[in-house]
This record gives sequence, C-alpha cells and structure tokens, in this order.
Amino acid sequence: MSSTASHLREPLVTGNPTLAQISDEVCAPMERKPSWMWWTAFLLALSALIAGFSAIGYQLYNGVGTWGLNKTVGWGFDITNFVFWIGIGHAGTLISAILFLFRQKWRTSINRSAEAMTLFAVLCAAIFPFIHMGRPWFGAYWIMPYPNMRGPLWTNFRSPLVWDVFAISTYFTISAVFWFVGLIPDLATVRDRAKTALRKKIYGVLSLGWSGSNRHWVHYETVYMLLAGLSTPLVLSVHTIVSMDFATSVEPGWHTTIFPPYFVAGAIFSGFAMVLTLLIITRKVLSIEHLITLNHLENMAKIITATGMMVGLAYGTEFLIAWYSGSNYEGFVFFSNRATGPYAWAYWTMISCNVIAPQVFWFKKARRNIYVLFFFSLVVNVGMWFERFVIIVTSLHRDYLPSSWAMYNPTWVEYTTLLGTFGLFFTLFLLFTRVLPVVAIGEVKAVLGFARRHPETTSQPHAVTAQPSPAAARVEVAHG
Amino acid sequence: MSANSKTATPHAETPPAAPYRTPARLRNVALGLVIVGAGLFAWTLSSQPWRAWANGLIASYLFVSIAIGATVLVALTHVAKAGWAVVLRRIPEAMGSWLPFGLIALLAVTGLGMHELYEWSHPDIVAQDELLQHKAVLMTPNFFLVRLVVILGLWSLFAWVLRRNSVAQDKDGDDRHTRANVAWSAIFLIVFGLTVTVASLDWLMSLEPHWFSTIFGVYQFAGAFVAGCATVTLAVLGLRRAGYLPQVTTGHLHDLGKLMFAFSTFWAYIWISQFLLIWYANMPEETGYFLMRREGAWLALFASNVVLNWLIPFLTLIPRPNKRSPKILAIVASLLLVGHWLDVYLQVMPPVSHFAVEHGGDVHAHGPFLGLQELGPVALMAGLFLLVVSWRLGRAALVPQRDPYLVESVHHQQ
Repeated sequence: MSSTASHLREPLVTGNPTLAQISDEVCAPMERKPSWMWWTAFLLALSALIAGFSAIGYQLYNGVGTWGLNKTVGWGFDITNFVFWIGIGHAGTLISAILFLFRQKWRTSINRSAEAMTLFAVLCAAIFPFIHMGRPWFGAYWIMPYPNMRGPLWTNFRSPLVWDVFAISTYFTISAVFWFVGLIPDLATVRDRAKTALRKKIYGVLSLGWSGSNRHWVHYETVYMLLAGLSTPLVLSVHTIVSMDFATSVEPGWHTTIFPPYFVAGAIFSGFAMVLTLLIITRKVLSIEHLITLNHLENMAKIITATGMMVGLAYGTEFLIAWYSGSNYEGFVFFSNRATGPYAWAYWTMISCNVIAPQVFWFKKARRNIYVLFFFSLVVNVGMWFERFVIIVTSLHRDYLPSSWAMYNPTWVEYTTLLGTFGLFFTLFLLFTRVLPVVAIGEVKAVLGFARRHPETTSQPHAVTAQPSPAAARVEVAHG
Repeated sequence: MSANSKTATPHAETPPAAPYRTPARLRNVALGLVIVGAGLFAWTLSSQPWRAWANGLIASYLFVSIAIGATVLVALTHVAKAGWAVVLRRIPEAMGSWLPFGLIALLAVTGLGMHELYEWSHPDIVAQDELLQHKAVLMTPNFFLVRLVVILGLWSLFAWVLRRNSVAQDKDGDDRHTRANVAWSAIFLIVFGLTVTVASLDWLMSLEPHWFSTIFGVYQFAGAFVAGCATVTLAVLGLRRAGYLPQVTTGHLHDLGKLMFAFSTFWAYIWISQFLLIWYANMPEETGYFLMRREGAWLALFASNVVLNWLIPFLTLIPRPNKRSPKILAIVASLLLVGHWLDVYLQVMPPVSHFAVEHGGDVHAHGPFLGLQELGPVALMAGLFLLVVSWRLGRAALVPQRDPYLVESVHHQQ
C-alpha cells in the first residue's frame, strides 16, 4: 500500500535499518548458538514443565480426588486456569487479524510472536478440560453415540461445553494456518540464508517453494486478507462461548447477559498484558529494540488501559444490576460473597490489579518506561487470573442450601499443574525464538521510513513519488 | 490494497471549498416535516395520549442516539489517530450539535409523558409492589429528570468541545488542537461508557421496571453507533451529490461501508448474546421481555428487526464493489436507519401499550401499530435534526482545513 503519512506519525521502526540489516538481525538468533541466558531460561521452563506433568501423572493415576475440589466447588483451579490461558490466547489473533483489518501498521513488528504465544496458550488451556475428565482415555468413547437401555445417547449439542470444543479447536486451527501463511515468505528467507543442506531442506519444505515472485505475493496477500476476515469473528467467538459455559446456567453470578462482550474484553486485556511481558524480554535479549520500539509498547499499554476500563465497566454494571434487579440471590453473590465475605481478598485483588493499576498508563512517562510496563503487565495477568477465580469459586462456594456451603482449598497438585503450564508455555516460546523468525521480516520491510512518504517534511516529495528508490520499489511490489 | 504508488494524488493543501449553505429545497422539506409532524403529534395527543408519548420517546431517543453515535465516531477517530476520516469529520461533528436540542426534546417527552410511559412514576403502583419500592431510591421522577439533564448535558458539552477545537484549528493550524482532542476524546469515551449504561437503564429498560439485563447498555451503544455511521454515510453521499466534498473518494466510501458492515454485525452479536442467554436460562424474571415481543403480530416485527439491522446489510456489504457503490451504500444506510427505528420501537411500544391496556383502560392498545401516529414525532424530529445539522455544517468549513492528518485523508485510497 502506498502511504502518505502525517508529520505527527512517528516512524514504526527506528534507526533507519536497511533491508539486509533487518533480515540479518531477525535471523541472527536462529543462526548462532544459544546464549547462556537462553539455556538458563530454557532449563528453568523445562523443569517447571516436568514438575507440572509429573503432577498431572500423579493426578491421573490417583484420580481427581487429589485436587481440592468438593461437591459444592466442583470447578476450581482447573477451569480458572483454562479460562486464564484461553484469554491469553486472544491477543495474537487480535493483533494479526483485527489490527490488520483496521490498518494498524504497528502490528507488523509484534504479530509473529503474539501469534506464536496464542497457539502455545491455547495448548496450555486445552490441558485442563482434558485432565478434568479424570479418565480422559474414555473421552473418545463418550463422545460417540452408544447403545444403552434408553436408546442411543448422543453428545448434548445444546451444551455450551460442546460448543467450546468446536470453538477452541476451530480457533486453534485457523490461528495456526494464519500464522503459517504469514511465515511462508520469512521461511523462504531463512532457507535462502541456510548454510547447511539439512537446514536448507527443512526450511525449503516448510516454505512451500516460495520464490517471492509477484504472482506469489498477490496470492499471498489475498489469502492473508481472507484469513484475517475469517479469524476476526473467531477471536470473538472463543471467549463468547467460554463465557456461555457460565452464563447459560441459572447460577447467580454466572448468569448475566453482559458476559460475552465482557469476557472478550477481558481476554484481550490479559492477552496484551502477556504479549507485553514476553516482548519486553524478547526485544532486550535479541537486541531488536529498534524493531519493537517504545511506540509499540506504548500502543499496547493504551489498549490495556482501554480494555481494562471496559472490564471495570462490566464489574460496575454487574453490581448496579444486581442491586437494581432486587433479586436476593444476585445481591447475595455480589455484595455478601464477592465484595465482602471469605473471598473478599481475591475480589479486591482483582479490582486493584484490573481496574485501578492500569490507570497508571494515563501518564506518558509510565507508558514509555519499560520497568513500569513490565511490572504492570505482570500485575494485570495476576488480576485476570483472579477474575476467573472470583467468578468461578465465589459463585459456587455458598450454594442455595447453607448446609452445603464449603470453602475451596487447592492442593499442591493443582499449584504444580499451574506451574507446569507456565513451563510448557515458556518452553515452547523459547524454542520458537530459536527456530523461527520472531519478527515478520517481510512485513516490517514494508513499513520502513522510505516506504512511507511525508510530503510536508521531505524536501523533495515529488521526486519520491515519481521515482521511488529501487529498494522502496521492491517493497511496493512485494506488498502492493 | 492498491499497488500503484504513482497514482496522481491531490494536493494536501486543499483550497477552501465553497462554504456550505442549506439549500432552499432541503429547508422547505425540513420545515414541511416539522409542520406535518407537529400536527400529527398534536392530533395523536388529543386522541391517544399514551401513543403520542410513546412515539415521542421513540423519536427523540432515535435522534439522540444518532447524534451520540456520531460523536462517539468522532472521538474514536481521534483516539485511534484515524487519518483517513479527517475529510468527512465535520459531518459527525455537526451531528453532535443536535445533542442539546435532543436534551430538550427528551426532557419534554419524559417529563410531560412520564405517567403514560413509566409505571414506576405512579406512587399508588409502587405502594403495592415490593420490587418497585426497592428501586424507588433511584427511580423517582425528579431524580430521573436530573440524571437525564446531567447525562445529555455532559454529552452536549463534549460534542461541543470536540467540534470547537477542530474548528479552531482551521484558523491557526496548531497541532495542539489535535492533541487536546485526543485527550478530550479519551475522557469522553469513559464518561460515555458510564453514562450510556445509566441512560439506557433509565430511558428504556425502566419502561419494564421489573426486567433487567446487564448487557442492555452495550446493546444501546451498538444500535446508536450503527445509526450514527449510517447517518454520516447518507450525509456524505448527499453532500457529494450536491457537489460538495470532492475530497471524499471511493476509498472513504469503502471505509464507511466497512464500518456499517462491522458494527451492524457487532449489534447482531450483542442482540444474540442477550437473547440466547435469556432464552437458554429460561428464568421467569427475564423471559417476560422476549415473550411480550413474540406474541401475536409482534413476532413479525421481532424477526424483521434482525433481518433489517443485520442480515440484509451483512449479505449486501460482503462484496467489495458494493461497499464502493454510492447507490448500494445509500440503500443499506437507509435500511439500517429504518431498522434502528424498528429496534427502538420494539423496545418502547410493547410495554407502554400493555400499560395503557392495564392501567389506562385503552382497550384498543393491543398489537403492533403502524400508522400516521407513528410517523408524526419521527417527522417532527427529523425535520428539526436536518435544520440544526445543516445550519451547523454551514458555520464552519466543510472539510477541516489544517488538520495534521488531512494529508493522509486526501491521499486515502484502497
């Protein structure tokens, strides 16, 4: 796209790198031996992963009774962690699809790693419903209609839990395809730079014979646009369906109509916080601070503030309507069990982290200070974990019958499983930084300074328009 | 996406176009609408007062929602730094100027027609209803009207500030105005989020004072935003046809088409979220809302609502050429406005007519009504809206003259 930029637009990539420099810088981490920092991080993540999977093994062998769940609180850490990870998995496809459709070009530097993060987060999420089945090897048997005394029993397609299976697997599939399509030109770049035959072979197969011809780019752009359009409703559908796991019930605190958009806003909120956490480290370790600039981090901070306030508005609306409805049960959940009551500490942690803390980003200095950004990105993720915990546990622990009231105390197995998913997430992300380009090389080249025109500030704007430099022309052709 | 970087592009420094003046024909049509509408309203008021007030509420809310939808569009283009929209920004800015007039209209209708519209405004009914007594802290006539004035006052103020800064930039070309508007827009969007929740609870949800839904404010926002975009689109197309706004290209129309496509779908998403969750849980406190709108002939209107507001716009606007065709855009935008009216009608008329049957003793108040009584207040408000917006359009340059993002907007193509 030829573009004319206002003088208020800041460059998306700083330092005026050449096209070759960008290829070199992004590919360098894949072509050198990993540093001691990478090894340390990898071994830590791998240990967490092994600990977590040992806990899962222990639980599968001994049964779900090793968790702290009871008859009243039948969903605890398992579903909290599931919703938490699914939420994290929203930012990637939001960045790659919705921001693409909105022509937000700053997405180009961050979309690759955000999409990778999305896929890993969805994998972490998928573990929980699976192990929550207790004996998951029966799962394949239970989803088939099977003969019994009441006639063939079918899966209950009216259950949102079944919709979830479809929504998440569709989302994962399309996100993976979208990610792979976006990778093809870059995989070809890696192939062309390969020094060993094996490397050339692997990346050659993966890049599907990409030659960079005009014809390839035209097809690529079309497919990319179509996948962006297809992914957009999917991003919204996933957390909408997850919210319906709760909202279709008649449980006070779960059944409320604002849940679908509120969950989607919360998912974007937590997803962006996780992208921020990861990219602040990645850009530093891989020395790509001029590709993922402070402007990128600042934009993400703004989105975090906006979505955080949407979530805050939803909290407030729930309270207002709980009072306005005059329903004793609604009032009991919100006023007696959440704002006060035995889990009030979790509720106020959630409010502090999700509504109050992000207000710091009203200050430009805070949005451009990587320490502040890093700290508050962690705070938001803690807050969003607690949001799911509050929704699930506080609504369940005091049932309609006071005789069945119970508290929920998670066991070491549940804590270790949660730790294990973080291990899985970081192990996969660290491997990703070793084998794939963490920044979309082809896309970033198209947003460099010389591909954009500033008629008011360039001394000879018409010269640029009439005779683009060879490099700019190549970018124009590549991305036209 | 266009591949051609050598396309001839217009100059950024657009010469000031001929200032806009309300054409005599438009003024006459608008005045005609006002006179006919006022006459019909007066006639309904003397024969079926509850129906006059119900339609008065529908019409005044309809144009308030269009004006606030347009103002939200202005604020969003500021906070998102959307360069493309600069050349057409004066139109939603002018539409925001309707808000103080909408304040007067809504205040008059809810103030004078309160007892016909709002069950909770009758002390004798409240005295026998435990739930209404619980809500009486919030739902008293005076407090209701105070909230209405405060909310619409705030909206009017923000719309005025955003337009004032934008017009001031025409004189000095200072980037400071753009920065100020980004900040004002961010504050406005927060204020709007909070106030729209309260406003939709007050003005519409409390028509059925026992019913509640947490998504209701989001639903009203979705409807208002689509209506705002549709009205902006119609105004842009009309002005282009009259020879104004030569800077608006097919690329801008394409974007307006995308906005209508996206937010009509967003409206449908919110609609289905509310409907599906209430249908699924099937709790008597909540289902009454939909039962009332699905009985008898109401069902046809209930179904048409989704067809007009989503199905037709969605299917029509998928192909790229349709989003770039002025004719198709005009048809879709008009359908969306009719759909928005129907949406508001379906929220107001069933409870008010039920109340007229049960407490007003009007035995003819059953079933959907589509007559001249419905047209009157809408014509009156439409006429006044056209006069005010057209007058405000003529009070400043039709295109922001020295906006720092103007250069991106006039070069916009896709």
